[in-house]
Amino acid sequence: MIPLFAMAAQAVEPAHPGWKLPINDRHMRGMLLVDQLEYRLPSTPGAVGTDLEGWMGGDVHRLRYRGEGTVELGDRVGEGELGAAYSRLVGPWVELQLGAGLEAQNEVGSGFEARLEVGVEAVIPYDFDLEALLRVSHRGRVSARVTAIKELMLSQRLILQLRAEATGAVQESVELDRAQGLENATAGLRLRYEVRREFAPYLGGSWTGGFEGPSGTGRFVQSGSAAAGVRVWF
Amino acid sequence: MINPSRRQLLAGLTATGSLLLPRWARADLVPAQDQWDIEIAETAMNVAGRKAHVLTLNGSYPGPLIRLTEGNEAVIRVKNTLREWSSIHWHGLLLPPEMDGVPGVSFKGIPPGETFEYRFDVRQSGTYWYHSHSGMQEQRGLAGPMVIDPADPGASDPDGTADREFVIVLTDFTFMNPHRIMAVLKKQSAYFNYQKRTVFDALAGKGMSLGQSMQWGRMRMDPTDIADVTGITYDYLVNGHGDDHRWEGIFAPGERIRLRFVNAGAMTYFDLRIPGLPMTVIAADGIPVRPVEVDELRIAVAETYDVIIEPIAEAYTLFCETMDRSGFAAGTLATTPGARVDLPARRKRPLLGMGDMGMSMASMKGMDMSGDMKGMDMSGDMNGHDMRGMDMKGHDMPKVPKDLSRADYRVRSAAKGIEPADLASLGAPEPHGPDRHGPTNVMVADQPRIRLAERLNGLEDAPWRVLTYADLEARLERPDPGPPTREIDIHLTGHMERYIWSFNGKKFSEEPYIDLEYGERVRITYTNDTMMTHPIHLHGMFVELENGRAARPLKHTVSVAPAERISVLVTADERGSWAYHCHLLYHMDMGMFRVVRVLDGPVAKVEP
Repeated sequence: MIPLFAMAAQAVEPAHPGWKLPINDRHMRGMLLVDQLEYRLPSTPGAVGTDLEGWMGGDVHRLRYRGEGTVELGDRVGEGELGAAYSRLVGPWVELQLGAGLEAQNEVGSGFEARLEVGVEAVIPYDFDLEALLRVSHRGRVSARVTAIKELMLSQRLILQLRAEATGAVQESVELDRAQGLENATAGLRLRYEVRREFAPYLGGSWTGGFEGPSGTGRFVQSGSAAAGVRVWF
Repeated sequence: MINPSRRQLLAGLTATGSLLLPRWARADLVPAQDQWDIEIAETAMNVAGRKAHVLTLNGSYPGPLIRLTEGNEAVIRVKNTLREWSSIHWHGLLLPPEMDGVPGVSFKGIPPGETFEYRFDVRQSGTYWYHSHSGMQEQRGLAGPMVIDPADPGASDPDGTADREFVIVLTDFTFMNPHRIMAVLKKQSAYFNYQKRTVFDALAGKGMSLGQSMQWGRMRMDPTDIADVTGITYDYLVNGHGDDHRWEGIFAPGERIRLRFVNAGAMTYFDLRIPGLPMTVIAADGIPVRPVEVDELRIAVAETYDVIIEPIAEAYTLFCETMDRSGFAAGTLATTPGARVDLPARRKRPLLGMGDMGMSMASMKGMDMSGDMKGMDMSGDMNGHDMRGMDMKGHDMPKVPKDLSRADYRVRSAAKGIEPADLASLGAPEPHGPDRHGPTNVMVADQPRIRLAERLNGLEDAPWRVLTYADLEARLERPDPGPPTREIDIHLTGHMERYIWSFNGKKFSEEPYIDLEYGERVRITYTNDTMMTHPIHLHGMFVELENGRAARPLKHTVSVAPAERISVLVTADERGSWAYHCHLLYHMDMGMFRVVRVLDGPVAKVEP
């Protein structure tokens, strides 16, 4: 967080005491994007999932935060993850992140993992959003996650979002019931209609695959699901 | 008070709309006076058919015409009845810095409930304007026209006086709170762009080949990124009138009419034309230029142009399309009230071209150059060849001059009665240097170009004469103070995604000042490293536009196109602190702003 303070210290002084600056280009700003808030099938009676991210700060230095979670409506089990990081724009299309996260689940017993996280987020040519996170848990478990998002404009308001994500780990986790190697991979499509830019209902579907964790057989399992939800930002 | 509340006037409107409103639009009927009382207030009024709370000057939006006389002392008392601080800046005027009206630069501002008396000697004549320099008040309505009569009445109009004068103030009005516009742009910069290219446009090769679309994608740029704030939220107004109730200018047959165009928009460039009627440009930014007859002109934000028209027919449309074609403002010029003229067809949204990125020919080699070359802006007047329709596919483009930027060609001027500008005298722009202006600047123009004589984006295909900067030549010869003694390079930089705008990669807060020594003469060379067109305004002093003319035109606002390199000369002959900024309101507010300090004695001449 040191750069945040350093930034505040450099503020340009008004020309005379009692005057204001002609413009203020140092406003702290922020955004919260709830990219997914959705009802998922086919599990009965369904599941609710969310994926959100946001930022606060200036042009270069930002506090980023994110969260995601799923709850099965029937047996009320689920999993969730939260994270916050200091983020710095290091190149026009690249930012580096250093932060902490927490993941917990109550599907198999209950357990959690607190982590230190180092990340890089970039917009690569052809406008793909890429994010890579390297994480070390409080038990020393090392894992990584890569996310790629591409949005295609079908019309001025109809937008198809392609999203792929893969999580892998060097060690297994009993607490989270996660396998060593490929924990899971997800590929999804969401077709949204932007009633306003800030408000877009969508329909989508996704495929998930991965190796079963310590409570299971360790085999590769996969499933598909459909979703209906809304994407909003503030 | 010269102008009764517009609200009252609106109340008295007839269904035929036969009243000429606002009254000050008939500029020649507004007498010049030296003393003015102006009151800033928030007024509920009807704009574009909806009720709005607008910031008004003497109850009028846009503000009333203030008409002064060169050589006299002007006294303008501005009363601020708002609950927030306010200010009025006199755009383009030569005056003492403390009368310039920029809070935080040269005065404190006008506190709520107080009156500030502006007092200055009027040292120039022509068409100017004024606006608030506080926060977002300009977007909320605080702007109006100013006309200064010359001490020598024949000076401003070389061919004699006009029979009638109209002031045409163009504005972009929004019902959104401008602070919300700012916040939204910061979150999603393309929020207002509903003219993007879809996947299907790209696949079908609409407007550009699939290869070119891929090239744009590779660059992470959007060829439709022409205006940040668009017709999706803006109503474009002529003298405060939307298209629901078009503004009318009534003339008598056979008259010679002077139109004084003021672009008082916060973010909008307009392309002006009166179909069927040529316009003779006689002044730019208030200063007389050699008459140039054109059919269309692009007016940058904050510019003013004076034109003469001699209508023959009974009715014409004044058509002001926005540069991004997302909307238009229109008025009617007619001999009888209520005349109806069909609007001309609106033109398609243009696309930026690879040339707007300032790519060098070397880096374009191997690119798919099939399809139309329009976007490359090479069609305009190179060696007299028309590049359009040339088949570039599979060639290393042997017919293109080796160095596109090299201005070794004479330009075929579109305008009547004016010699081509000698662009060769300006030399060939150097390629961009190694400094890429830090992480908050997305791209650089590898090979910036001189674009003075080009029909810029969206006007390439206009089948009529279009004014370019190369057509402007000062009408009054001034003694040439000689060559500059210092060169200042200013790159226009930014980051569209994060909505950061800056000079040389630095915002105002990171690098607030540019210091000039009193009396020194400098050349400021702009290189536009962004994909947007920026109107750059220096307060307090005119700049001389180096456009290949012996008599360089004076400008207070210079529009710089994408990938353009353009230079101005300025003699630092006005002491004090002067604002210097991009006049796109939201760019200025994001930091595309400097304070130019003209100081006695030697100054630290660091490269800004």
